[in-house]
Amino acid sequence: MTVLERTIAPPFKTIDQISWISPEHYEVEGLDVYGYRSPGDGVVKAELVVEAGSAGEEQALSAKMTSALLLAGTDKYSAHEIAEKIDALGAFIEVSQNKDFFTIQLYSLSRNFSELLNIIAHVVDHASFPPREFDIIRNNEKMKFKVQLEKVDVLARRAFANTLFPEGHPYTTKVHLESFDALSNSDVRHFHETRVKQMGWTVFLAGDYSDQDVQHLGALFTGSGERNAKVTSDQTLNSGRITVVEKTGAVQSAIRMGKEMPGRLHSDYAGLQVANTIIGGYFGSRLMNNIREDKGYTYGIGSRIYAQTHGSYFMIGTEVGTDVTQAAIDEIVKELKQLIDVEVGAGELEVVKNYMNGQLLKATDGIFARMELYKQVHYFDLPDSYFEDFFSKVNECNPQIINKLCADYFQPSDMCVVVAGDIGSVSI
Amino acid sequence: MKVDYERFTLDNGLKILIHKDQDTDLVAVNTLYNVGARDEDASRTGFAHLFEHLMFGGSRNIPDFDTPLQKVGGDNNAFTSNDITNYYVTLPAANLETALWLESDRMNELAFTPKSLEVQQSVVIEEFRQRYLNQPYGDVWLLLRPLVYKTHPYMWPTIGKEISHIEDATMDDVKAFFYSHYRPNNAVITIAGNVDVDATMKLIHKWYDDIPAGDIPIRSLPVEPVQTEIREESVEREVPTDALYLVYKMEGRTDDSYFATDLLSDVLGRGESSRLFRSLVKDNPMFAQLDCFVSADLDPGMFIVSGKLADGTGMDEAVAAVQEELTKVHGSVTEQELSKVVNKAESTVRFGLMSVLDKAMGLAIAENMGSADLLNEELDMYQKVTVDEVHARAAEVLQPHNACVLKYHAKR
Repeated sequence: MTVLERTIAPPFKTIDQISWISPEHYEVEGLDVYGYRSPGDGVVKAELVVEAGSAGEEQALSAKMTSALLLAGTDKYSAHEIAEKIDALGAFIEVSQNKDFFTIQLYSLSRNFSELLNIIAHVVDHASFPPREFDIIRNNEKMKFKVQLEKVDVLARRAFANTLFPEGHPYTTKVHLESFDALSNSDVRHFHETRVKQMGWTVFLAGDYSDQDVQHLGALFTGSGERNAKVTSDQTLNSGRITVVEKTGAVQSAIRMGKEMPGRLHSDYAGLQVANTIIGGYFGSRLMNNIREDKGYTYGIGSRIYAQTHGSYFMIGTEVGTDVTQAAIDEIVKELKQLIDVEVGAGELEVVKNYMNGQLLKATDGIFARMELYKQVHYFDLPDSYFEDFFSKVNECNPQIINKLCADYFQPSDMCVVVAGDIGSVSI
Repeated sequence: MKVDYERFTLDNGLKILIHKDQDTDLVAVNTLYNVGARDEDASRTGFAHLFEHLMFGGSRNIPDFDTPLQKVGGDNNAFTSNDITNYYVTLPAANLETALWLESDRMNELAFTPKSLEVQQSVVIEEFRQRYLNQPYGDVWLLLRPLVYKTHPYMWPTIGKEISHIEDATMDDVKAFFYSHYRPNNAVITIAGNVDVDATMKLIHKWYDDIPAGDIPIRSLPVEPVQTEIREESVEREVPTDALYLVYKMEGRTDDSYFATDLLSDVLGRGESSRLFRSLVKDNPMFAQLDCFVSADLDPGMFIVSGKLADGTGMDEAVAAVQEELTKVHGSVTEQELSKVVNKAESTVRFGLMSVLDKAMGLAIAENMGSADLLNEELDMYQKVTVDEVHARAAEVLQPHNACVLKYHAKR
């Protein structure tokens, strides 16, 4: 009889490939609909996306308030009537926007999807932005904004955008408390009329939808035709700048540190994602192991590469105890330098690659996950083989490649640094 | 939509449920321990949650939980509540054995290193700061719970009553906690994914058979007495606007009437067509935000109304306005209102069972409540609720003497 040997890990299989499945694609009356179908689940998730993000607004907050008010009434129905109709169908709706996109996200029972689409189409075309609703919602959003400004992580994020991005760049922070009172009802109508209703829709479906649903979408929504927003990276981002935001009494400081990075189609991108994972992209990262698991300075620290339409960047983020703020910054810099001075070990690199492969497997598993990835393929003009290529490139990385990427792209002196908290000054 | 499963029990009391799903390359392994903040000593709170952190600090034979899992393409996380501590792993189905090797070793015996305790104490203290002290309105539950509960351990939140309890934890305390609660006869493992049941059970026997059952203290918690008089508390904090919290005592999650009470909270405050939203955020905008929801605790829990006052609304008129709406709901819920919230509940249930992790976790939580079948019965239970039942719940729960009111004033 063999004794159970608990000190030895069981054998395991590596992930040898990722198979990417493209969605169904329908072109119905000029509207592009992409879908992953899963018959029998009884539910469908739909995202209707238009390239009407806040980067294209003329008055700060126009996009956000348009999204907040889209369901607040039409020429035919009041806000309450619309809410009643949607709730009666058991649906959940979220209208949101970011710098690049304006999105209507629908979670629906399949049997009610058709009726829900009728309501949404009506609202999109006939939203009337009643003045009373505008006032109420504006006040509520202003109140929420005031609460957000009390948080060190929010203060750091806002300051980071203005530190990394040069003045005039679409990603700088444009919303301030004064923006709420400066916004008028006509700004919102204007944004809705000229952006939301003009730029054209693309639809992403996942779940138990029918062919009739697809046809119905084509009848209700106008397509976007030629994509309007192209990925641009013509403005150089700032480097080496430091900003401190004072928040008296904060028991933690928020630290944000980062710099410009190339986008998804750059030949270094996959390798940079590997480097990012080593630095701060998973629980076993250099930053987590040092600053959380060894020093106990924080509940969490991580890093990410944000690849967006008008620029891409790398950013480390954490909230640490006030009294260890400078110490945490020193340790972060130390970890970056370490990866430049000393090649990552083969064992560590193997763990990171296997972990990333597992994450990619998870990200392509199931219809909702796949749809999230497909949106990237669509909006960043990625080839169909993108994820399979990414997988190959990740697995080709060796310690020398990673070391060179760290030296070329992760120099501490190039980083922009922002700290928000009860802290006078910091040094890098 | 049913989540089918097969059930097994080992000699040491460990329960295993397996759900087969061939539409995925993954498997989720969920390990639920029947211990939560309610099982703590009043002078040593925050323990179950601190312990959750320590579970990652190395077990007897394996110095580090995360790295061997990452190496096989897996990831994991955990959470602690007042009722349970739950650990979940997702990884490629082909590597199921790695997850079982790791989870069984830490169920068997933790490494209990001083360094691990020291570091996790600091980490948890930072979590306390980040989530409860450094956030506007962050300390609400530190204030509300002891107002609602005078006897039952729900009176303290999972993070603990105060930072000093975490600071003062000793290794002996930690070891005692482990051997009282982290035993196979106090746990259920659920596995959902692309696995073969027989092969899986072979691996379960291999890794878990030799873990001894433990002496789990019989849970005998003091029953919170019926509340006979309204309770009120006022505090002042550096926040941008006044906030108001009302809590009414309600039944526990496993009571038959729970579903009716849950739907009552939805009629009042779920979505923009709900009563509280319509009356007090839109028609008469006294509140900038207003929600109504239930805590879903296993022991008698909380029916909560929480809101942020709009500029110009006084605290007393806000309280009166909410209480008026809660009085109006008695006997006035319509079939249409009920059907609306039942549809929303259906959406939530269906969307909540889409991934292998959702299914594994759902089965474990249901099994811990009494039977995994409760997961598959959940939708039915909501759909069977009648208007009369909702009215009966309102009549019992939404009584002034049953209310705890926290008035959270913004410092001017």
